[in-house]
Amino acid sequence: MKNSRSGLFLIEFLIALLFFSLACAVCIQLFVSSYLLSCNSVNKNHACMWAENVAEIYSASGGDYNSTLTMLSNTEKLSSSDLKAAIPKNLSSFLSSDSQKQSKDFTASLAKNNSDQIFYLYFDKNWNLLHQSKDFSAAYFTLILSDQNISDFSNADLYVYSFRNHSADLLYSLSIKKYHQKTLS
Amino acid sequence: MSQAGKQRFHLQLHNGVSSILFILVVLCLVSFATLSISSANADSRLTRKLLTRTTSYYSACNAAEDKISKIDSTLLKIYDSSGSQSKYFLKAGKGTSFYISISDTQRLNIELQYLYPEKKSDTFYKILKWQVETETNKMSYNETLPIPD
Repeated sequence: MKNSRSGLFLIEFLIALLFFSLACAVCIQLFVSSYLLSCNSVNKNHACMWAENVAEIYSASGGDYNSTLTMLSNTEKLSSSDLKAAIPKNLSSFLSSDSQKQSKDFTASLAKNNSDQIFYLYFDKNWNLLHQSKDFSAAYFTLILSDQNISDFSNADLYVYSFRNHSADLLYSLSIKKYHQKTLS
Repeated sequence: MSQAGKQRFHLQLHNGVSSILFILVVLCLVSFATLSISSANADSRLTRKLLTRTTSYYSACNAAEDKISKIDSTLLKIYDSSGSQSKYFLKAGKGTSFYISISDTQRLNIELQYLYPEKKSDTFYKILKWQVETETNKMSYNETLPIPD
């Protein structure tokens, strides 16, 4: 009698354990996906905020590339050589391997432009700005400003990329246009 | 030895106890997982809205710059065709203002004052206003409170 009761309890316990493991598997998947979704939201928020910051500096300097560089160097305590430091090799391979359309557009625009009209900001995984070019290979995020002058307009394209899992993901992109007023000649 | 000392404690686990315990734990897990995914989804929706709003604002700014460039070209033409300041202002007017839509409820209000350039490097206009306005007449506020009877 006692043995049969123990056996029954064991069977019930095993069945409950089976359902528990199944539920756990589903719940862990939900927790992981919500964590990844939150991380993505946080990164996009930071990307948008930095793109806006740089866009406002660009607008305030009247669409002048050199003034933007000077203003950014002063406010963020960056040297102009660090701002013009190109993407480190280990990160640029991520960009070229990216199959996204935006990235193709970006590489095309890079090819069109003079390299003097592009600058980069690098961030660590917590969105702290990296100040020394020796640390840039460990960057997690980068902001790229590509500036073009077309007739009376200064056009800037801003791209914020994240480097993860050996690929570059475009987090946010923004285009700004600044008109140069006509003056009496 | 006393009678109480002879008694031993036996843990009695009846059938169904383990099932109830597991069901409670699973319910807790599912509740927390649902809360976390719904919170993450809400954050994601808010982020998408923020990105859309920022992009719309800069698109409106770009459209405004385009419009200003056309106005500037027109003012230059008027300046070339009119010989005096009075004729210039007669043709051009004192200024203009226009709106560029950002979203259903917001718009960019731009006000320009026309200037008559007198010496070199003088410009044809001055921006008086570059302001985001919320169109409150398009908004309907829910002023009721859901109080149960």
